[in-house]
Amino acid sequence: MFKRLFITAVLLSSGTTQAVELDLDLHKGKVVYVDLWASWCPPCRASFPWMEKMHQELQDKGLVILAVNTGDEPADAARFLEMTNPSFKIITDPDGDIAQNLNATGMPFSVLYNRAGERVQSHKGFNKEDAVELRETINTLIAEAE
Amino acid sequence: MRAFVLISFALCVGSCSNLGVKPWERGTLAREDMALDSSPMQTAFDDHIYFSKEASSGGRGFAGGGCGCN
Amino acid sequence: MKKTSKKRDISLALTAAAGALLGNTAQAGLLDYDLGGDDWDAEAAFMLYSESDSRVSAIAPAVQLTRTIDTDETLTLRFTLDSLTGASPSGAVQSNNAQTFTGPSGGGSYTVAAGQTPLDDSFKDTRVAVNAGWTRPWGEQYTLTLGGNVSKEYDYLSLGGSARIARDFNQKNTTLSAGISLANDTISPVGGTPVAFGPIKTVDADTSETKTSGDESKIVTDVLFGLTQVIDRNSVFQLSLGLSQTDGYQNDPYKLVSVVDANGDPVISDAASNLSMALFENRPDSRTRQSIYAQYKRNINGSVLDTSYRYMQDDWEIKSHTLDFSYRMPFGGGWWQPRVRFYAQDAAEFYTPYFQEGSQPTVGSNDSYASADYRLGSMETTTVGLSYGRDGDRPWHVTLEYYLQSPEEPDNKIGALENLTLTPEMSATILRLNIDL
Repeated sequence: MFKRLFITAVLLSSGTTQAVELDLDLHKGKVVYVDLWASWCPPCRASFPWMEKMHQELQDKGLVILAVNTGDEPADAARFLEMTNPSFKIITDPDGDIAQNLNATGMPFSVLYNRAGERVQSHKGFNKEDAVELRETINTLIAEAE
Repeated sequence: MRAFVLISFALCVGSCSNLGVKPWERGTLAREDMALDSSPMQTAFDDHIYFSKEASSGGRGFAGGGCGCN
Repeated sequence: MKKTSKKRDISLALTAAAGALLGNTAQAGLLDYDLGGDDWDAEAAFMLYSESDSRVSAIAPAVQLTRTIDTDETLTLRFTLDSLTGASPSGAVQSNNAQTFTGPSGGGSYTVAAGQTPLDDSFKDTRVAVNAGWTRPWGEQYTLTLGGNVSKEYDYLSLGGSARIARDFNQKNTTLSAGISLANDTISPVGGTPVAFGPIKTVDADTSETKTSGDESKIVTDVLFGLTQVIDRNSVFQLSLGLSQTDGYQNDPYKLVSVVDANGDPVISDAASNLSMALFENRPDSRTRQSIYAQYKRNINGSVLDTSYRYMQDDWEIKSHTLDFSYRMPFGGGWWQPRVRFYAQDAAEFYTPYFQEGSQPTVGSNDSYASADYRLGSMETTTVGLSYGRDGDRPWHVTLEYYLQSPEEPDNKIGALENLTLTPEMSATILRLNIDL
């Protein structure tokens, strides 16, 4: 399913992008991993080192990570981002619109889109097993030609 | 009395679906001071004192609430 | 002010200094995506408990270790040491005359002045307890928690285990849980197990008819059903139903029931030593309890209100109500939390402050029940406390509480007992310190 949307870009000092909806057009041809997170959610925090690793290893091979911060106090999110200093893209979703549009059923919540822009998988939660499984799925999607 | 409580239990699983929040709206509930048992060590000490000095003990459970993550 | 909870944080393999460094070093830490690993979190606590009138004092250090195995799996270990000194009421009545009793501890016999509540002769006791808990998911929908505990005192050993499963509904807004726990308690009373209603004897007397050797034990089975419901962003509610069955030896082997004459004076069983006549108590072998517990927590502009109520009843005719309120208020880099607890219980059916001479059961009547332990009598207690805590890297809090116990004085006391207080009030001061290491 191809989502045709627009971005309202307000750049904050920490380099986050505020959005009402996600624009996947920007990332046509790439595998997109959308992750819904909040600083008060311990498994979300735990997934950051893993996402950083995925980003550093697979960015050149066509992986785009969009970490959407939702349901969080800006100060708390900023403090967490300062501490972890991720190099993947952070998007803020202050009113939960993106979360709602993605039909998130838990936290953290991730959605994977293939190179054709189709939503192939969504996943709730994050633990060691999930880290391995998600990585395998991402590798498979990366290997697909467009 | 017991029937009333059992019925409340049963009703809640069904109709309590109207109560609650979205998964990303649990920031406040995730706070440690909003956990049903915010200090397990304190609870353990309390239980031990009151068990030694009074004739009642136990009766509390602590599953649920909180961040609801995973 | 929100606290960044170090305890809940899965190890990001970042050192505390990483936050202060710029860019690269912090990023290097992020490459280690080891979740959990060797992450142990520790909390230490210390409690001082002191009763009025030189009764019981206790010091209890404890430490709790939590290992985060995965984002949804934790292991908790708690070690507690309780060091008790002092004495508590033996159950015998006060008198206008001095009394003499014999007891299992120490030198054998002790005297009680006129107008004083007889206390067990002083004891020193140390209790060591270990609790372990393991929580992990079970399939897609369930969470399983397994627990084990061991508690040991010089004359007492308790071994127990528990299991609980919880299931979430309505996107985790509703949680149902069911748990069971079993405990086997063994008691080896000092001086032997007393025969029901056997009298205390003089120090050198033959106790073969009033004491038996060997251990006594009981088994406690508890079942608990719970319902937790998130009401809105700021509040959560919990309801628990409990059933408990205890089978086996439930007497307190050191507690006595006095025998008094028509004037309300204790009968003297041995004139030479002025030994009062006091009989060992006897309680039923079975106790069935039901309880209902409700708790409501609400965030009010950053402050947290915590209220709970418990009603408990059993087949010993004890009914109790417990009401607990606390209100945590953030302040600067910390918080204040006042707390109030009210408790009221009805007397057990067999609560017997004393026997009038001639009405006591014969020695060995196992099917007669009587106990003068005021903790089985009608009473109200009130606890007021204040805690102060500070957030940060090593959160800590200190609590000071005052506990007042007001047992209800028995009515229709005969003779001299009319002017004596058989169940005086007791108060205790409790000081606690908790630190997250």
